[in-house]
Amino acid sequence: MRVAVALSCGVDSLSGRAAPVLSEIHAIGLARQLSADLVGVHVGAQTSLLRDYAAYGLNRIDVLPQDEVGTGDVGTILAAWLRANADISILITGHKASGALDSGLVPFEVAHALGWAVVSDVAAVVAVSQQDGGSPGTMQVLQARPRGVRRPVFIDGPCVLAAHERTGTVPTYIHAVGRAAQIEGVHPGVVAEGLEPEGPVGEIRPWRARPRLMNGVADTARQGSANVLVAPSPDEAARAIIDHLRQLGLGPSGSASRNVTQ
Amino acid sequence: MTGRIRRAPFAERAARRQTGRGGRVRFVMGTTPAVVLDSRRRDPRAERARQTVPGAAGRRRIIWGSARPGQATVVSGVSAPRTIRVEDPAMLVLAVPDFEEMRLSRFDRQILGAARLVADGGKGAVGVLCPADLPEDQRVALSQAGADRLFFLPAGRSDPAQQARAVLHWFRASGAAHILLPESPDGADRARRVAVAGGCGFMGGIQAFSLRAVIAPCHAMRRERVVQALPQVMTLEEDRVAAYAGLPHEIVQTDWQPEDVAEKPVINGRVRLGEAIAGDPASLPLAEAPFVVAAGNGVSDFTTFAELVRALGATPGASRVVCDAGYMPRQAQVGASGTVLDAACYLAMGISGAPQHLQGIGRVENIIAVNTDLHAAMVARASLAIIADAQEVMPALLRLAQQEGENPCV
Ligand SMILES: Cc1cc2nc3c(=O)[nH]c(=O)nc-3n(C[C@H](O)[C@H](O)[C@H](O)COP(=O)(O)OP(=O)(O)OC[C@H]3O[C@@H](n4cnc5c(N)ncnc54)[C@H](O)[C@@H]3O)c2cc1C
Repeated sequence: MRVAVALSCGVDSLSGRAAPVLSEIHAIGLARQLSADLVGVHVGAQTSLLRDYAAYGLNRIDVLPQDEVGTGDVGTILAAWLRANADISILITGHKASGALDSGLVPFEVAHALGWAVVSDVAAVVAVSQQDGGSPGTMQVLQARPRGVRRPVFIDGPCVLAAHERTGTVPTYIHAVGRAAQIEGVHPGVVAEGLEPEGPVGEIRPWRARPRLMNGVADTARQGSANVLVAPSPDEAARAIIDHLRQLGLGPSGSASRNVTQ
Repeated sequence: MTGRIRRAPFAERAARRQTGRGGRVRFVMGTTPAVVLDSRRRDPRAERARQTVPGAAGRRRIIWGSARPGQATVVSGVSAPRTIRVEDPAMLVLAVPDFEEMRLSRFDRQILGAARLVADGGKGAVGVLCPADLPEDQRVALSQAGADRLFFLPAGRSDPAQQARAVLHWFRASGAAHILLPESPDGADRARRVAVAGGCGFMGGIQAFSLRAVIAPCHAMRRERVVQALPQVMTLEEDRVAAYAGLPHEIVQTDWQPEDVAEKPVINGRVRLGEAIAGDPASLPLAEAPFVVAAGNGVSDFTTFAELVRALGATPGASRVVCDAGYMPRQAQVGASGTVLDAACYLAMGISGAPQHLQGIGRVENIIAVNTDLHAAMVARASLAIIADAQEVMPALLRLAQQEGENPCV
């Protein structure tokens, strides 16, 4: 079973220099859980950054040239490339690019163009069963949710998986693997006509921090120690704490079995 | 002192005075007139007391300038609350809240607030897409949050593709101009599915929202993208737009029929979401942990502390002093130079609550503090504070937690 990993070649948010995107490294980690036969794919120009990605365990990277149409078409180009490589039935992407419009639409666009299933925020692969043709049968992955909650997702057939932004495994970086990787420009052939335009790109200008509203919930808590026990006996204190935790649905037997999302 | 009415004895006597037969003066000593005004002396407290009436929700109100003092009457708190009814709107804006645990969260209200903003700008209405099995009490919450119309999505959320199709169906059927979703994990996923399936203009993770322009970061948060014409599908980050705070809106019934999902062949039902499972607290990254128990300089017994954390099913944290001293790993540090928590509850053992530390727990709603110092900042921030020695509380708490853990029949 061949698994493709989409690489966007981002920039570092602090320095602005070219740097691998963390969630794409996680995507390589996910791909390695699925199969040993991996191929990277990048839409755009060939850069030395691709060797950095390859060092995490990709033997081959296909570089697809991007015509002047613009960034909105990455999904279409990837879909055309996947159609041409019919032996690939799983594409793994990062959470979103970092260095372009960063909309996070690409996995959904590819899945829509090919009629594949798509799952976002994937943290780990639990199990995968292969059918005879090498295509995946059913697959179980874990979707990361806030506060450590994980949700199992069952998928049938070919799919696009988007790795989670922060959670995931980082494979070991082996410089020699990166050096040995085959990085080739490929023409995907006829690109089907693109999706409808994404709407106006708008004005791009330097980012500045936008104000957030004050968190009203925390404010009410901050106002007061509603409950102060001065010099209780240790047992009283313990009882008070446990009771307070119980009210929140936490505590010795609570948190392990209950799922706390709010 | 406030309630006390100052008496004016001369005036009281004058009020009792009556001319009897034969020109004799009588004084009626029975019921005294409630209050007698002394024209020579104002009594502000009594005046205030007379003008004060109990209002709605137990709050006192003061009626200024009532015609005659003492005549202020109780205003009924149940006078029909006014609602806003939008009869035929010029346009429609849809909001798709998450309805996590079947209730409207703070974030959801903000999404409705943003939709309200757009709708009010164009004399329009806000339509809310909600699950068909939404509890009745949430309708009140929805009308307070500014919803005018409700559209129902099929119950059962196990297939995200089907949910997105239903959202898109309503978007098209209702002819809405915009659709707003939260940039929460589920909302972000749904919004992108809808935008791609419908070929709609999309902008995600909006940080500044107004009718003139929407702004979202791009280029690795180094640039931002400003779009003047509002895109069709938008997702907003949390705490960027205020929730609607005006008069409640009346939810008007619509005669639009829900999409008959059964009729259509299921095209993409290949993804099935399972039941969410809580993470293992011991190995959870601190930033994700729902319940953190942290040790500060007031803790000296770290063996008991570690056992306690395990028994409570919590994730361990620490103040900087403890990490600097090497009692706990640096990953456990909470605060400005450590981890900022997203927990629901924080139990602080012997932590003073320095500003740098409090920064790390700014989002935490429930804080329990154990500290010997009544005046520590952490105690002021806590919803439950125990003024006691942490070394004595910890073993007692550990014992109790172990007992409760064995028979969790509470
Ligand atoms: C640039 C900068 C960044 C910083 N970043 C961080 C950060 O990210 N995180 C952080 O935590 N700190 C940070 N600090 C340090 C911070 O200012 C405080 O020094 C630190 O948080 C204090 O830790 P503490 O509360 O554990 O210790 P202390 O201030 O010593 O407080 C100990 C508390 O324990 C109580 N106590 C003592 N004995 C007992 C007992 N037996 N039982 C119960 N209670 C007892 C005391 O009453 C006191 O309130 C930073 C400082 C600077 C300058």
